[in-house]
Amino acid sequence: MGKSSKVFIALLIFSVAILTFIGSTTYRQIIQLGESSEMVARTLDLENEINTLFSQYTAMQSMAYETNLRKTPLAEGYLDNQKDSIANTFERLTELTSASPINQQNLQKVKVIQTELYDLLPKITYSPDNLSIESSLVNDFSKRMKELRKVKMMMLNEEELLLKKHKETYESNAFLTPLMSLLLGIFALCIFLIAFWRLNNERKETQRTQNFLESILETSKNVISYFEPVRDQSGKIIDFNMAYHHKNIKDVLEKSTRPRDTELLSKAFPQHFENGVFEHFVTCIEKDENQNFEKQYDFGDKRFWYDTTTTKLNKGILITSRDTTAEKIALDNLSISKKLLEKRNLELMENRAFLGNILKSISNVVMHLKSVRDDKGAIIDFELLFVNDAINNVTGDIPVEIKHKKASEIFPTIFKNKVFENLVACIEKGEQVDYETHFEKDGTTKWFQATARKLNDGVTVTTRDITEEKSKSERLQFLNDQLSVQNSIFKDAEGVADIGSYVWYLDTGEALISDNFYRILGHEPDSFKVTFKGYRDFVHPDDLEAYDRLGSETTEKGSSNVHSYRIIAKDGKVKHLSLNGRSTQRMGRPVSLGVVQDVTQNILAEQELRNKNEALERSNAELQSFNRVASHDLQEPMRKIQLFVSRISEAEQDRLSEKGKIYFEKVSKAANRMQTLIKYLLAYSRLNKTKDEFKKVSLNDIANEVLADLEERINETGVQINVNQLPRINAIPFQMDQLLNNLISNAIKYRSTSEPAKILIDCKKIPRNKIREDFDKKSKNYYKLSVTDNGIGFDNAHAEKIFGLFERLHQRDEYSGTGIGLAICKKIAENHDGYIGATSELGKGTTFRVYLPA
Amino acid sequence: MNIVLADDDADDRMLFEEAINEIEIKTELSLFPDGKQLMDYLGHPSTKLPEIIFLDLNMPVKNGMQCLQEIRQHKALSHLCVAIYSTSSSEQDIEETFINGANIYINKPNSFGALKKAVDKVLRLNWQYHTSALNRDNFLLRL
Amino acid sequence: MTLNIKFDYHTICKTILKEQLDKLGVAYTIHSLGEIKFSDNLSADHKNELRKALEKYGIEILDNPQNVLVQRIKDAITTLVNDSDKAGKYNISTYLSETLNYSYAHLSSVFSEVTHSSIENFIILKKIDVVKHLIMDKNLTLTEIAHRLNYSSVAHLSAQFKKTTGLTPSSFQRIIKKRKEKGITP
Repeated sequence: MGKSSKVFIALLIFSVAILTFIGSTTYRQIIQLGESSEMVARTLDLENEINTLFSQYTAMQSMAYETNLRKTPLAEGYLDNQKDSIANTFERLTELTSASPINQQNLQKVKVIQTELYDLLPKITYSPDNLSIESSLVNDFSKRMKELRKVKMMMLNEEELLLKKHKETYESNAFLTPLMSLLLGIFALCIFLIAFWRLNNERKETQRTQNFLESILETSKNVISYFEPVRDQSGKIIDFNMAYHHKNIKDVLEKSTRPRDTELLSKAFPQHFENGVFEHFVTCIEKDENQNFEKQYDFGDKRFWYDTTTTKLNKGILITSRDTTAEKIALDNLSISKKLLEKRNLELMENRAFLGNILKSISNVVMHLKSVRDDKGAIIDFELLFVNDAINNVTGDIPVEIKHKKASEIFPTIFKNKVFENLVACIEKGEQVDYETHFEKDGTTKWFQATARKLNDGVTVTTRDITEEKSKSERLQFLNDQLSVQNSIFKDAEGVADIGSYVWYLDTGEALISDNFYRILGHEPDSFKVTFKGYRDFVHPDDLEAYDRLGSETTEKGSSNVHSYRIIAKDGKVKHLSLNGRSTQRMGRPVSLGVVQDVTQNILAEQELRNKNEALERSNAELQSFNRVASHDLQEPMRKIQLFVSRISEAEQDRLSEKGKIYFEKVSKAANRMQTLIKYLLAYSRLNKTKDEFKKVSLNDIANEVLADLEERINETGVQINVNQLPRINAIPFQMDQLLNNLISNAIKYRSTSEPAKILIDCKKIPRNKIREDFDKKSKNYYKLSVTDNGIGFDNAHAEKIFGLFERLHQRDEYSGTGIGLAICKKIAENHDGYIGATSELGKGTTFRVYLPA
Repeated sequence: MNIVLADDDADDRMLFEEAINEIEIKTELSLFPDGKQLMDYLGHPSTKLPEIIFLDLNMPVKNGMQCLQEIRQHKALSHLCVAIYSTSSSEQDIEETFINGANIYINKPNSFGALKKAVDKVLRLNWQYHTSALNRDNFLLRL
Repeated sequence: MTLNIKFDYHTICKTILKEQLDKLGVAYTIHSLGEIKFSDNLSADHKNELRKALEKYGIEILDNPQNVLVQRIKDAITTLVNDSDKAGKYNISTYLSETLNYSYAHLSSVFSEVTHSSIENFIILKKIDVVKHLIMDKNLTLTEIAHRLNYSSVAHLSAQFKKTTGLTPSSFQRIIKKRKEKGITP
């Protein structure tokens, strides 16, 4: 419901309220008007009655006077009659004056006076009993009458006032009431008009919408229907009643051959129960979900497509179906033509690819050149329109880069070697032109056979590389010459290399062997005829089995796995022969061609090497066991000596003489030295290079750890050590530790005594060609790690010597040391494919440089 | 404190015992001449497990490394503190024992004083690890 | 298969304590770890029972007031070392005497008497323990660790590490790493 209709309902309620109000007001007005008019009428009645009353009084008076005058008594009962009628009138008056208290009072006064009158009246009335009427009584009576008239005047006045008031009320009511009625009427009219206007508008709107909808329905090809479900007893939908359908459905029905007089879906469109349409309808109703489906229907021999949308509407469903048959057909046609196009496209592409592949795969250069003419129409240049990839092999150009360029730009040579003229002739005469040309690239000359053919205003040139063909004939001549030279060389070579060759006819077992083969056997060349069987006598008895296998395998399969055997030469020497044969045909006979080599020397050398290796392995194992022995067994006694010495010097301190103590100290020192020496030697011998121990290590971290390790020494000696930024390198961490430890310890040990000792550790990356030191530089760049001190230094002449094992430059009592530390450093540097060197100056200081691959 | 030492060298066993007796901390020491006897002892149900096991590496029958590996794989023993007590000062040897689960590595010292000091330090430190909230997984010490 | 776990000593201890104390059936409250208050006095039998039960977990009942004080010193040091901000601001001796309300000399002598080791040594031990933790679990570099634990330089840290453990930080790291690879946990 819209907002406006709410407003209208509110307005309606409001107007009904107003109408009711106005109506009730008007009703009250009318009632009041009635009351007012009644009041006026009542006043008039009252006046009448008052006058009647007083006239009766007056009549009574005049009657009394009359009797007196006439001297006739009053008619019997007259007085009582008169009294009755007065009482009636009085009663009416009392009733009429009920609304006016003043007149009620007045009436009371009248009543009092009336009683007096009634008393007086018989007294003044002539009767036989009453002949003398006192005049005073008559006066009294008159006085009472006068009083009565006064009261009457008061009452009349009072009534006059009331009448006036009532009249006013009446008049105002008489004016207001019609006004209110008019108002009521006008207002009701207004509401009616508004309501009518609205209703009319709505009716028009509905009409318009309906027209619009109808026109849409009429113009659209959609079939719109409204079906109501038919349910069985259990409420299940079993059919539909076609409650409404748009006229278009007639077309559909006409298409269908089904009876048209039925309204049941099952009769009109039984196929809906088979193709799932019915289920769609049911789902739409039961789940209240819009359904959309496109189905194909066969009406008669024609096929139709409908796109259907169903919407639940009230109890039934609204079905909108659109005939999409035309679209479908169009779509089908489209896809057929599209497939056709695709097929053609594919064929085209295949053709193109085929052509492209041909152009790519052929080694011939194919190009098309378009003429470039001057104003007079003479050809002055060519533009390259197409060239295949083969050009790249000839000139090194890339086809896409040179396309659309001028021949003068890319092939300037054609203007010099007559090729340009050939091409121009081809175009102008329209004849095929063949020519030979050459092209120079990177110092080699290539020859080409070219064919030019006119095409439009240009030429298609196909060029074939004939360099090889050209050079082949030259080469053949050259090879022939070579062969004769080689033959003679070969003969000499056989002798030098202890090689012999053979031709072994596999069918007969006959063989031709070279001169040197005879010599290897210890015979003069051609001194006897060789056969496979006869040769067997030379073969070492232990290798006969192999030799026979060689024979059978080569005869059967053309080759053998036997490649060596021993022979016993004429002089009785055992020779090792190695052979390599290849079977082929010679003059229609199966042969094996091959060489034999006297490898006796090699075999003996190999044997010796093997023996030496075994010896080395043995000694290595011995060395290792020595290492183990040294690490434990050799050290143990030394340690024990020290231990017990320390035990004695501690426990027996009091009993030992001073000299004894000193001797023990010397024993301990000597043993300690020995132990240290053993430890260092062990460390040296254990330095080996195992690939998996290499790791990325930070030299700064290692330097820090070494400094931490040496902290005590550093503090003791007061050496100032600066470490610059060092790199991370690939190295064996523990060996780097040892290297830096040894170098720094060394620098501390040989520190200056005259000035504050300083040590600087630095590292720089340098290319190998900037390294002066001579060693095998496998890496492109090296880290030059340097340890520089300002210590005592040494004579630079010893710079090499100091890295030798047990080399010492100082007396033991001057500087303690084993002479192994720097040897260890050298070995570490070598383990890392690096190098260590030193430069020094006596009294100035030393720099150790270690080069490590970066 | 309850400790054990397995060492094939009788001199070393003797000196170790003497050193133990001379230090402040009161200990009960059991000695074994080889690894096998040690492992048998440790495996015995009535044995009161020691706080620290001192192991020589070079021993006949069953060497120290084998003992160490067995201890670390043994459910009931794996938590014990193992101190290697060996002559070898090769870095590779030392690292190898730590990797295999040793807590402490003591190079057999050259003097009795050093021995006493080393044993004392080990016992104190082990005590410290026992009584304070220190992470025993990371307890490594080289003397 | 390897399972990595993370645990908190305090929670574990508290859980164990609660379990064992609940078994006794006496009213108690645990005041910061290391101190349990009972509303009534604990009978000797109960105490022995508790002592035995806790022994299994390496939890010891400290009878001696000196032991109690040592434990408090250790706790205070642990707190300080773990809180790098505080550690930077305080001098250890003032920190300890302020927190525990004893003169440093007294604390020092009690500590040495009970543990056969000095407070300074214990602090170093504790600090190195944290260093180990930071190297292994947090993968921090030595420079970062030195900065965090208020060492004057990496060299100083390396030196103290080497002095305390006999190993360089890097070989320590290498060893623990290889141990983990081999699955050995002592």
